[in-house]
Amino acid sequence: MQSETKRYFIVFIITSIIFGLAFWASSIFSSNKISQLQEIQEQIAIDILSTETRYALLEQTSCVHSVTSLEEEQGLSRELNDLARRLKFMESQLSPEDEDVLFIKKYYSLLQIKDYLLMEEIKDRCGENLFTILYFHQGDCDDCQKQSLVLDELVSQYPETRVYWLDKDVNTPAIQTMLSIFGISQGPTMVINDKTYEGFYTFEQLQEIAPEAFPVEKEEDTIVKPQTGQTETTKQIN
Amino acid sequence: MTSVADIVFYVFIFLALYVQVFFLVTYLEKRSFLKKKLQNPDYFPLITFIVPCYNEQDSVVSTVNSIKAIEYPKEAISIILVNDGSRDKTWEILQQYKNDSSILLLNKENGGKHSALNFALPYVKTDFVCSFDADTAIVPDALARAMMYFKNDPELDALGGAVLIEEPKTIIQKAQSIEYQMFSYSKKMLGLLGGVLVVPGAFSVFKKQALLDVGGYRHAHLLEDLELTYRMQVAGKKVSHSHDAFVYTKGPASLNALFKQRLRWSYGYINNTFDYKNAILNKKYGNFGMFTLPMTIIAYPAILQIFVLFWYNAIQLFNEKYIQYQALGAESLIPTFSLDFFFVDTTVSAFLTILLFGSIFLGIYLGKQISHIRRVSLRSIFWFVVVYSMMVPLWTLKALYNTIFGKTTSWGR
Repeated sequence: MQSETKRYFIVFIITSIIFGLAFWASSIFSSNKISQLQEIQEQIAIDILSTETRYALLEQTSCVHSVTSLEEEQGLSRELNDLARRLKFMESQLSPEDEDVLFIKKYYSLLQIKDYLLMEEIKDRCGENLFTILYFHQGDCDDCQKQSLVLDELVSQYPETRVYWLDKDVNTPAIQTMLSIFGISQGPTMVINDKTYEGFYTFEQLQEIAPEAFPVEKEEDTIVKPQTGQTETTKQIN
Repeated sequence: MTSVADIVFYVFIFLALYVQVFFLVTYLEKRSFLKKKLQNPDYFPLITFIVPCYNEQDSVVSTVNSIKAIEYPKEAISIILVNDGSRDKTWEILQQYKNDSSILLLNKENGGKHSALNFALPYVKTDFVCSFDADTAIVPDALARAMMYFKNDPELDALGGAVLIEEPKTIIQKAQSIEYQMFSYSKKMLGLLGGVLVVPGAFSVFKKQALLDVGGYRHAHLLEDLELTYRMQVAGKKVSHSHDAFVYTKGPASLNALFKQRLRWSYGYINNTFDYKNAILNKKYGNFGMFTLPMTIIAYPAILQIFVLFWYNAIQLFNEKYIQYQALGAESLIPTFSLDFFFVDTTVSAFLTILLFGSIFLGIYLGKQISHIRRVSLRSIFWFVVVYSMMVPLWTLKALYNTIFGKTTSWGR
């Protein structure tokens, strides 16, 4: 019995080590991924700072030089999308309450709002043709999942479009202010050309809404009726 | 944040891994012994085969032929064929052996396998008894190999043989062939630990006295071989397993037949284990009480949990794809292969699942080594994973249902 008890104990130790290895490996990979997210985020911060700086320089003179049509601005749009996708995946991997994920999400939201304000200003002052969509979503909603997929596709087809991915449940004052400005109660809701679109919109419907930004390549005469549950309201930011 | 479901999952995976490590440690410890060249058999005591027959008209002749062809002194073997009130032509077919002096034919009213075995016991004149199924074929050297265990260990009372699936044809049989192969590893490990769960009715050798000491066979919820093993373990009889004495059984060919067989096994296991609940975690019974019984009990909720998780994930994946279909249409469902490591699942559960499957495949491999099987077909392993991951929870649940609501379970034929 003595040697038998020893066997039970040794097996317990070995199993614990193997078990611990699984946890260890998982945390190594997770922290690796989190630092990847942070890198993308830093890149976004630098890109925004760069836009801001260029705009500040040009502000002194005139709007002769375009700020937004640069290649790297399109790169920024892609980065915003990319980070949104990766963040969503990390939420499913770790948990939406994971501290690292939450922190990145907050910071990322603030960066996006900042870029949005900057773009609005550039549009107003210089009349530049940059198309933006504010997209409010939340976890655990099928329509949001659908809308996210459609917007992902939209940006990949029209890279000059900029989608701002704002999780309405992120508890930061800036987001909450945005929500009250646009009167948003639930996701998915998009703000396009100062108009609020609540509910799910298909790719084709979005093309209808903003034909100037999303030109349809083929001639199509189909009229898309808005689905039930969609509401359209106009609100101005002031 | 870790949810309760996660913790339950971790606990079961930990226990499942514990069992696998337990086997592996035992294997590594006894490796040299297992690899040792087999002794040439030189111990041939008198022995009697008891073959209960119930509706075995198609298989009993080849079974008797296989026994008659074994490499063992002819005069040392006698066979008792018990017709347990068959409704087919079994009894008529058995008449061809009536002038064979080594074969005794017995006929009785139908009363179940345990009654047929008990009916034959008083006719056994030898010190050794071999219980043998009428749909099983014995490998020529199996009995001689089995008897060497009794020679090497005079204390030994009961020995289970290694059962494999004979020429698997259907998908269901192929799946079983892998399962039996994996069993031959875990059974051998349990045998080395003195914690044999069951000496299979298909082929096992007993000292007659040991069998009589514990009182022969019982009805035992239609799983007489399991109950007899439990009773012997509890009575302090020495039970072991021989990995090198093979018999081949056909195994149910259809899913329905397999389901019925396993329902009977699960039902018998649950009820007999309940009857012997005092042995569970009882130090007095050594590894049988401390390891074998707890391990097999834990396997039940673990299997159910894996089943629930499997379907939960499958439904989630389906839902995700359905949403994608709704959003972007059917074309978007064509998978595009992007090698972005970022999106590879690296959760703890993913690693644990890989470990668990790894240990199962290791079990299959070591089973192959122990049983000296030359080739293992990957297709069979595939069918094993598919059939068992789907079916095990179903018959387990049905057996639980039958137990709780007092439904009887039948032999299914």
